[in-house]
Amino acid sequence: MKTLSSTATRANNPSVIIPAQETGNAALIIALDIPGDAYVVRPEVGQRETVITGYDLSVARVEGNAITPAWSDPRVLLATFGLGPLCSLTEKTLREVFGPTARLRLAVERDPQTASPMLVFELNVARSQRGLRGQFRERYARETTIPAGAPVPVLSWEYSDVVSA
Amino acid sequence: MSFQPEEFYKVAKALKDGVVVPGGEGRYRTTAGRAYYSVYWATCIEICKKFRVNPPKDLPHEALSTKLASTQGDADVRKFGDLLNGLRLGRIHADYKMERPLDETLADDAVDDAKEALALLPSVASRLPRVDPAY
Repeated sequence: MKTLSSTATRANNPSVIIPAQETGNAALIIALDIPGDAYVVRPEVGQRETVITGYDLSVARVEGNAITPAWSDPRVLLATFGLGPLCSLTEKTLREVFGPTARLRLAVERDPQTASPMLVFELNVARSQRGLRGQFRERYARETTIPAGAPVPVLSWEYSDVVSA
Repeated sequence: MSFQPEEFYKVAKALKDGVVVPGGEGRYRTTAGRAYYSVYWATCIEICKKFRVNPPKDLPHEALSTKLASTQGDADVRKFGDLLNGLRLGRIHADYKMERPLDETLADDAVDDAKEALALLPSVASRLPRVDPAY
């Protein structure tokens, strides 16, 4: 079977070698000679190869297999899908409803029944203010918008036992 | 210490015997799961009714909740979707994240959120979007 490692790349393709002493992991990054700003990241032997591209791959197939996202860093999601404004407005609304001690933390979680990871907005508030969740949810639904095509954040509540200001 | 699966058996046995289910994570996790499925199935039934899928079918969990939670221009449908999506995550924690503690407050949240969603459902049912069954 043809794999990325057996795929020939043009000798004159721009490539960057990251030596192991810089990151702990050596990698070869090759710019592919196709549209879409596609790059192959060829890491050390034994690690998975990765293709990075600006294409929307939500309906793409590789040899008949669906491509599923493999997010692990929520900061990458924010940058890729332009979720920064949503995140900022959510945190602002959270603090307006719950006070300055309320915190928004980003996380990526997995649903064992689906292939795609989930972006989670972990909302940390004082346990004594739990009753204000509905007020926050109302404003979140009315005042924020999920950018088209972006992952939809799941709201998850976490409580701390601090005395609210 | 992570949650011990035998606790689920104790809940099942107590429910089957019709006795009070002892407090603890087994009860809280079971609560979160049942709360989600009450709203999930109520939503499936309304969507299937609206789009003439008879008998109603189960709809893909992720597609259903994320489609509702990303609705534009209808804040009530979106709020309903956020409730369903949050309940779905709670159910995932309850059934699959044994190492993650699930306390009574989160079980309370699940019941409160399910109650709010079920109360909201009749007013948004006619505006729910189409979500196709997976099969």
